[in-house]
Amino acid sequence: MSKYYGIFKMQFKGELQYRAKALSGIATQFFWGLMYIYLYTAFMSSSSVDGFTLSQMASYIWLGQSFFALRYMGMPKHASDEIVNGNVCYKFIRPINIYNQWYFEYLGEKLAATLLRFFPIIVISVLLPTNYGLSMAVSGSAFILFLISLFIGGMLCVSISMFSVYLTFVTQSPKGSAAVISTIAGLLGGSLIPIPLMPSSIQYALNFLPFRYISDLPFRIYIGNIGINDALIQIGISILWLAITILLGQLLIRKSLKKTVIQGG
Amino acid sequence: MLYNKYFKMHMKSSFEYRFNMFLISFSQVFICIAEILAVWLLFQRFETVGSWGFYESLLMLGIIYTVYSITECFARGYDEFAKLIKSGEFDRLLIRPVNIHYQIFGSRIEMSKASRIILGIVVSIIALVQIGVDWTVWKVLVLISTYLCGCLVILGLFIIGAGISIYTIENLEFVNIITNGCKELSYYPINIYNKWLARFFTFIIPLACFNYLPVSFIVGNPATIPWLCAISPLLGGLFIIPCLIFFNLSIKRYQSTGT
Amino acid sequence: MTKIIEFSDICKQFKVPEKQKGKWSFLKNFFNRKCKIIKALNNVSFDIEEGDIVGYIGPNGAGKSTTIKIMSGILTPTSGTCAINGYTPWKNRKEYVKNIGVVFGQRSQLWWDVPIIDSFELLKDIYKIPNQEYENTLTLLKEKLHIEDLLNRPLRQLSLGQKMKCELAGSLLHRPKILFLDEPTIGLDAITKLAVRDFIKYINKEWNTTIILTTHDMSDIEALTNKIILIGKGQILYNGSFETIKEKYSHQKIITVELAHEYDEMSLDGYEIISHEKNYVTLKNLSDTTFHAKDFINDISKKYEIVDFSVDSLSVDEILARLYSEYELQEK
Repeated sequence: MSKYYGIFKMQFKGELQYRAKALSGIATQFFWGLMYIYLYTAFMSSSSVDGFTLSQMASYIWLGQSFFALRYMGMPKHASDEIVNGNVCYKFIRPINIYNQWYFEYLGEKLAATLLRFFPIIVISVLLPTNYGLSMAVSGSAFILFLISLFIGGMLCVSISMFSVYLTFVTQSPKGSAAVISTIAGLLGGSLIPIPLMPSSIQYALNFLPFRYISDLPFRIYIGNIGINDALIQIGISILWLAITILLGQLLIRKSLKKTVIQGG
Repeated sequence: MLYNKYFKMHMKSSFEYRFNMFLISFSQVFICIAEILAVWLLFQRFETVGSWGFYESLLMLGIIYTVYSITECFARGYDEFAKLIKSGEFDRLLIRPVNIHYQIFGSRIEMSKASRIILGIVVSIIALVQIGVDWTVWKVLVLISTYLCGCLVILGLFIIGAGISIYTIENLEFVNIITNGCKELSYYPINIYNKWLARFFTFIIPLACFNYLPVSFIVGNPATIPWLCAISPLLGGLFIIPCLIFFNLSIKRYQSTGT
Repeated sequence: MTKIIEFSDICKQFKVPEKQKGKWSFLKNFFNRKCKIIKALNNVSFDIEEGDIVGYIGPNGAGKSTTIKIMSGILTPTSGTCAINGYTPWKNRKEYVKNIGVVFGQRSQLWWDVPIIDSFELLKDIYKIPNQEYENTLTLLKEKLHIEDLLNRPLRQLSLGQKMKCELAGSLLHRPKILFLDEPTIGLDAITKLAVRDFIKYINKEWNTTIILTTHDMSDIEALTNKIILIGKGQILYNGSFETIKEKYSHQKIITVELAHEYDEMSLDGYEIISHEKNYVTLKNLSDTTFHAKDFINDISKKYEIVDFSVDSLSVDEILARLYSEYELQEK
């Protein structure tokens, strides 16, 4: 386990190097959070839509902005670089599972970026007036379940991102691969528009895909849009998705690595 | 003309990687469609926002996509300025006897954006047809100046970003998020936002000058003053001037720190 | 001879963030970054005459590339004046750079995935070279550098040596009056290295091009330059002919002696033992004594039984290493 801790620490330190990037990230997240709240308030016009109130919507948006780095589906950069420049072959020399290494590198990068950014946004948004600011979690138990599901969500986000690594093996185009995966996940996972604002038939259908368990589930547990009992069941489902995506990812990446090595990179 | 040569070189270069270019084009169209879908979903649920229906928003989306992609295609050099500095390419440009802006334009031309330019135009046309505009000569002129103004404003934002990256060397999310975020949020009428935000995006970064205001004129939005809306793109285009001044000052600083 | 480059009292300061050390240093660096000012160049003055080939040498981080960047108009110095070919490089940039060519050994000015000839055509337009002149220059460059067959291939397919030849050609298409070469022979094989050197000499002679060369390869300096400027810690330490420096160290010898028996204790007035192995021992004369073969044999054979010995002068690299250590430039 210590080697994964090492990988994680390296990523964290790396992230801290880019101070200006973090600060500007915080400022822009905050700004756009505000814009989104105005936008959806205008759409919702009445004070609630199927039990989703303005104040819940505002909290949903602020959580999304605070944990942007955690739920944003990018490209694990180390992995894609190594694939494109062919260094991936050297990975076989190291006594470490390649999928795991990339997984933890990317998780580390995400956690570091999140830890650096979420706090200022949370603090400022809590201070905003009702219907515009972040409210407290509905209950202590909801808050605990929120933390658990958020962490699982972050891991699920990484395990789905790993499919763009697989696509990079196939297409040799990291940019295009990441864009396609992150767009699908963004639309179907509620980061393009909050899922509670979608037509109800679509909301129902999205329950059967993994994407909404990344951030939609934890946020809705926090604001009380999903009750404790439902939350427990859905956390169970998200763990199931996590296991499925990791297994599938391991399989696909092992397969394409073998192919790469045989072809000589 | 020198720019022609740059253009041909980029053509040749990207045709060396046809497959990759095709993939990137495909993924970009894919993203566009997903974003249109998101807007459509919102309107499915709520039908209108302010005085806007789906097709008015779609028109604004079409305009933004077109101008944003045109600017990205031809002015990517500013957008990726941090890379230009890091790789030493910018030093290389400084030792050529050609205007520096001309060279930055020539340094990057992204053919793969062509797919999005076309998509933007197609979407604009569909929206215009569905809205059923009573066309006059003025409206056509305003529409054309809207596209021009849009390119200038986005270019201005890129140039500011480039100027900032001279100080920070990092490619900041800042500019990306401003430009991308602007894209996402400016499909909707600007008066739904807080009045200070609306003023900010009209008078400081004049996004409204190439979407809400001229589109209001074209579709005949009663909430606005027609003649003011009609000339807004001309005023918005002036945004480029302070951006250029800022950039030129930043280059001076580069020359004295040489990062 | 006219002075083409006059560099006087140039200073250049950079502000760099200072890394703090300690356990939580990375957090401290994040929240509170301290800056310190580094003097990259400190009152640097020198002249270069038209048609000279000048070697600009010094250890890593001495300020070589800062100087080159100032001379090519990329950087503006903090203070001081500089006139090159009648221009101040960082003012009138566009006019000035028409007359210079720059080759950065590690970076390319040519397009990565487009045939070389297309890059050349682009340079032709950038420098507004008239057709006839371009054809003539290109023919000459093709012939002298043997790059005829390479021109239709993209840069990414060329070997390091081929790349360097094309880079050289690219930066000479507009027949610059001054050519800056930054490590032009780095990583090249022996044959290409010689070819590149011959070509540089040829250009210098034919076109009377002034050439400023930075390199760590001392054989480049020996083969090409008639003058060297030695810089260290941002200051000019030596400016003059290379011969003078060689002269200065010419009395320094390395003597290898074969003894009749295995090496044991040994000492000899005026000499210092550098190393020994089995029957062999290597000595050098101390800087205040001059080496005379006859005296040496007399002295040593009085004390020890010797079979054979050989005497070598210092190599160019060794001279430079001595020079650096004399000025305390070596990093510890």
